[in-house]
Amino acid sequence: MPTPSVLAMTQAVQTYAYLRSSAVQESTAGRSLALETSGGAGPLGAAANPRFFSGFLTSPGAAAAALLAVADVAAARYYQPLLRASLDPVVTAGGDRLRFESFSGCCGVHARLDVLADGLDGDDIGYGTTNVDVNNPLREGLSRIGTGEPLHMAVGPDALEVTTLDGPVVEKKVPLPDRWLRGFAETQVLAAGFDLRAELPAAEAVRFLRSLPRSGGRGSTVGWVVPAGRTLRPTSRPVPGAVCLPGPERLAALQRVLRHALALRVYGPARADGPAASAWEVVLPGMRLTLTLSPDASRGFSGEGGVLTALAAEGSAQDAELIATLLAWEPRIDPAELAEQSGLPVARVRAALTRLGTAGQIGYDFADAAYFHRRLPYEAGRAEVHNPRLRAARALVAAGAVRLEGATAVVTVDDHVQRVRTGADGQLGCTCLWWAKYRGGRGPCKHVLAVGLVRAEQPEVVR
Amino acid sequence: MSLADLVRKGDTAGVAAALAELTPEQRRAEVPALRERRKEMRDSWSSSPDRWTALLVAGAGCLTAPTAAAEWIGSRAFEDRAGWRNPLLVEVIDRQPPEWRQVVTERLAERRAPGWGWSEHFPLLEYLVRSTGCPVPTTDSFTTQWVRERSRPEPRHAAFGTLPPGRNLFARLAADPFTPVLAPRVFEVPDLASELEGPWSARDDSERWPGVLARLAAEGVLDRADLIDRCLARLLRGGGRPNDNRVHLSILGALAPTEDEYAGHARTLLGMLDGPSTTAALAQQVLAALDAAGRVDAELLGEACLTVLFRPEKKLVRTQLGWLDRAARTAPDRAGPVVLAAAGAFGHPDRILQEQALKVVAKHLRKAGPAVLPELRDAAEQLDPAHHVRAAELFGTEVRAEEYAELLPAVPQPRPVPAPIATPAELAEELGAVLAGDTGLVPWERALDGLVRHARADRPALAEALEPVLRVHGGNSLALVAEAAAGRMTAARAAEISLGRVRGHFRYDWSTGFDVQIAARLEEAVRLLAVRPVPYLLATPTLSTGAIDAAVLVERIAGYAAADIGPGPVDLGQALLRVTPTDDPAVLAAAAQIDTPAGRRLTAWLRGGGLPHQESTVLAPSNGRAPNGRRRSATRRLVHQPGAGATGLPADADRLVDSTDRQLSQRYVWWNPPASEQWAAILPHHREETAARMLERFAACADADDRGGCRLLPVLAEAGGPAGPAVHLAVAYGLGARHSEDRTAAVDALLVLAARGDLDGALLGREAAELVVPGAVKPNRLAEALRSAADTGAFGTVWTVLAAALPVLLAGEPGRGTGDLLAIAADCARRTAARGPIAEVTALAARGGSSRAVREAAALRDVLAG
Repeated sequence: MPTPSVLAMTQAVQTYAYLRSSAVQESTAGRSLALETSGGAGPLGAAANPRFFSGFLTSPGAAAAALLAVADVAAARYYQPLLRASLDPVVTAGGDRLRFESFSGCCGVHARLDVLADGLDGDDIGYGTTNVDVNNPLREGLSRIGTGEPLHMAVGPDALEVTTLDGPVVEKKVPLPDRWLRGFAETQVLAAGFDLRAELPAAEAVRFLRSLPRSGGRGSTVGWVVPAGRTLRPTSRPVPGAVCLPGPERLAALQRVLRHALALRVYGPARADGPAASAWEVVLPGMRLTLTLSPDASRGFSGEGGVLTALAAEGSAQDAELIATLLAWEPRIDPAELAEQSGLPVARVRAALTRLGTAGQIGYDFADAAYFHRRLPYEAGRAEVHNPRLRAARALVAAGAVRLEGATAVVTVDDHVQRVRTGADGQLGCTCLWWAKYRGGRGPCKHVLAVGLVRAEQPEVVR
Repeated sequence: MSLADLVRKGDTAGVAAALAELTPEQRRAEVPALRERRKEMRDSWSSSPDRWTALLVAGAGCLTAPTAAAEWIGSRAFEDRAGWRNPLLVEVIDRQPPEWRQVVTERLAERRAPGWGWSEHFPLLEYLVRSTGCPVPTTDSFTTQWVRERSRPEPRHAAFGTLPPGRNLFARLAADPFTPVLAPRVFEVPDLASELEGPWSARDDSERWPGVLARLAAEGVLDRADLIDRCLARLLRGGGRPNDNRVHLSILGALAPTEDEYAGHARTLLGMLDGPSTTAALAQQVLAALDAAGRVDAELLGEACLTVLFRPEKKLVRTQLGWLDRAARTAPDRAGPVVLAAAGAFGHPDRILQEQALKVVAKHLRKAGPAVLPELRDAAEQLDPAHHVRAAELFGTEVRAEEYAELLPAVPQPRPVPAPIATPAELAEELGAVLAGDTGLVPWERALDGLVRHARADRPALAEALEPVLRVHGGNSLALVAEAAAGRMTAARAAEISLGRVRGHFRYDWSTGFDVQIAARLEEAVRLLAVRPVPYLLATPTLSTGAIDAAVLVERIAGYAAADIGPGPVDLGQALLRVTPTDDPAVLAAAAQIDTPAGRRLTAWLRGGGLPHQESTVLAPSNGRAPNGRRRSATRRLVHQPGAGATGLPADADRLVDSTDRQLSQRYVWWNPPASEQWAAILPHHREETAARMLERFAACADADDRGGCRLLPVLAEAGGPAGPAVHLAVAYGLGARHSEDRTAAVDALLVLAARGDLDGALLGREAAELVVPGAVKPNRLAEALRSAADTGAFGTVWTVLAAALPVLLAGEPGRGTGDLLAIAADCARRTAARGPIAEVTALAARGGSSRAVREAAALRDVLAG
């Protein structure tokens, strides 16, 4: 019997309306891949079935395998696999490249395939973000694509087809959980803190990825790897230079593209004493396939809370709105340039970008070490407002539970107090159990957030 | 009587009869009362099945809106209730208008199937589909329920159909009008694979789904070509659980497609080569047959090789090489493409397969002509060095091996411990983290020291700051010390706890000698906090290994002397065990200046070089008894140490460094606490002594399948003091541990020891081999660990280990897994250009035969011969 809280949980529904199913079509002229689109937006505003590209994929075998890997992640749950995931991948056209993104149902794995200019040969690439239909016959078609033969690819129907086809024939309605949406958006904000930690040539990359377990065993699955010569060596603890590899079975989707791999690049936070997220990028001819893993298979990105401070800062909302108007699906965002255009200092531009990231309007590209613009084709604003921790913090402020006492603050919760302390480095710390468990590793707790909110309301002098 | 009352009585017949009397408006009016009743019954613990049935029937009769009715009937409240099978429900539903029934049917067909078992809903649903004339629903859930229902051998209720019961699934499906629509769907519905392996009642394969589907196709009930298409598509697509392809392969096996039927699916079969190994093996076999019959494009072979020769499975690669060889033999004009394709296996991880690929290339090289040579030369660079000579002969260029350089990780540097905790507020946070599960040494030590410091400095402030933390933690370990520090403990309780006689505070039945030493420190802290607070602790480390810089300890003791306070003896004892030995005259002079008992003790300790190191003797497994009368281990190799002699340390510390026989006398306990970093930090300059006292734990990882016990090995490798037999034996056990994370930790330790120049490879090799011989360590685990150590670039280190291990291992009959170890040895010897024959290897190689051990021994012999 489901508990009332589960029943009461807000459960939005995502509706896809494709003009027809995506498919690999065969004709005398050769094979062609038609990816159908639904919803989303471009520079001219919302679109029902936008078209972003028509042309050839230069490495069809690798591209087909990589697209299947993205579809695999979209359909996977690496934790509690019995529950289903069914949200379609998202494609962003950024003028010179196409990015296919998906996010696993367990909220712990983000996959992105960047098809770069080298990987595409065709007319202009458009601008915008939309959903892409994935279905069984498409998977079979992609699995049949061999190497060598040229493959035509169209993303979205052309204008003629839109007028001749008789409305959408493929409709899918799937649940769109808040935490999934939040995780999808926030992965990008976390990712912005990653650096390149290791790079492996093809042969070593294959050997390393093959040595990983294919299915999660029982017990702890958080491991570390440390660069050793040309390869990576598994290690039992976070020694200096080590990268966390949490739930290595979640890299299984990369197995599909191993044959085409040119290199493996690993990104992670500069310092990780405990479980941490990391990103694994396989370089393919003209493409890059990146999987970003959450710090634990059982721990989705949605709870990481890396963006809460930015969300709680009230001033950033207006900045974010201003910055949002300046963005137009740039494949690389330069904060300095935006600062010049908007007249805001760079630090505030960065804060605004973080905030936009939580609304699903920003992605992060490791290889370029830069944000790119894309607008997730979902009603994303809601998720951020409903962040449980932020909501609890606002409730504490509203109840007048926060009392500032110089460098420390006392937060009264029910019958007890928690103390929030400002450390020498300006970081806030709390006495609550949650903070004690993660020490800020999963973002601020509700008490720290509440104190931040109250401090922000204070006049400058008192602060 | 209202319907709700009839429901309460559980009178289903009464409900059905009453419904017949009511107008639609009257029936609608009953709905709120029924909903109320459902809520009541859901919340109550005791409600009879009859009531649920009556409620279901009442709702089905009263809800005139079909969507609401479908929601009612399909609601979770009626899940697993027998009411669904009640013919009265059918009767009531039959009275509803046809449009209503149609919508209800469609809605119910979309309802999710139960996670397992067959569904109570399905017979009703089936009846509805038949009686309304709806098209057969093809939803996933309807298909799943259909498969489960048809698998049941039990007789059906007459109201729900007349399919023949019994084991004969074929008869049932052949008579079933749903079969032609639903049977093809079984390949698309997720999570059906395990159902298709049944039914459980089948006696042989002809009664199971694969056989039955094939027979239905043969008899024309199903479209055979369509079935083959769908089955191949499913195998191509993969997905589902890891072994899902097994049942699809057996369906394909039952259908047994002919060569003609396969011929049109060449591209699908090519794609299947990328699938799970069983799927790939089938595709490979079919494609090879098609190729031999000349029914597919000749270029397809090359494409198949790209996929298959890249795969790690030896069997697939071997078969593929055989296919290539055959192709070139039968059609000499294909020799060129064949040799190029075969070169794809030059990069295979298995050296013997590379050799086979080389053989295939050699055989057809002449026919292929010189045009292929440049490409082959490039491919040859991936070959194992063992084949470089042969490749040079064949392709005419020298393949140059890289210059060898041993690659070891950087020597880890211990991190300095941060300054003491400055404020009670910071202490509260740190203490919270430790109590919430931070197991690290440094946070624990700093929190303990912080409690002592701030209790003396400002007890009320400390008590206030600790309040939020102590509210949620309490009862044991540091929380007890915190209670004492905050003045929350009565003097009597503090005395009781600090005497250490009561178990359950700091000492438990399972406490080891290390735990007891930690407990003694905590007890002393509680006593001092209650009786005479001291300014700080002496034993707080200055380095993350637990070591204390001698100059810092001198300062600390001088501080005590200045304040005219005597340190706690346990604290002082632990500080002495941790102080880094020094002969810096300035430090010794400063120590000699302190004219207190503690100062004199420190001076004497530093002058005497600290705790003496003990002699280790390896105890072979024996059935004898230790001097204390305890039985020795009959399977494990352990280490004996005579004890440190008169140390003048407090009792618990003294016991810890006493003879290892005292450790043997520990009682059996039902639970072993996980080894913690703090254990290794008690004797930071005596890792050999620590290892000797923990050996049983490392051994248990190898021979008793314990998990996580080897986590401390890298910490020991980073600790100070000589590394003798105990440390090496510990690493040897770790390399043979059952769980991969333990082996990983052992490899870490091995590399750290090697990087610090503390590794005695020969000692480790001998000890590891001595563990393999009686079976304490399995050779395949040892091989895996050594392989991963070697692969990162430590070939030289691994060679020193194996060179010493092989004579012991090969003294008797080579056991399983010896071949792996010999193969690693051959790789290491080749890379590091090791020379000098090993008699046992030569003898094994001379024995002849085709076993892996003999072949690898021969390879090693050849390398060693130069």
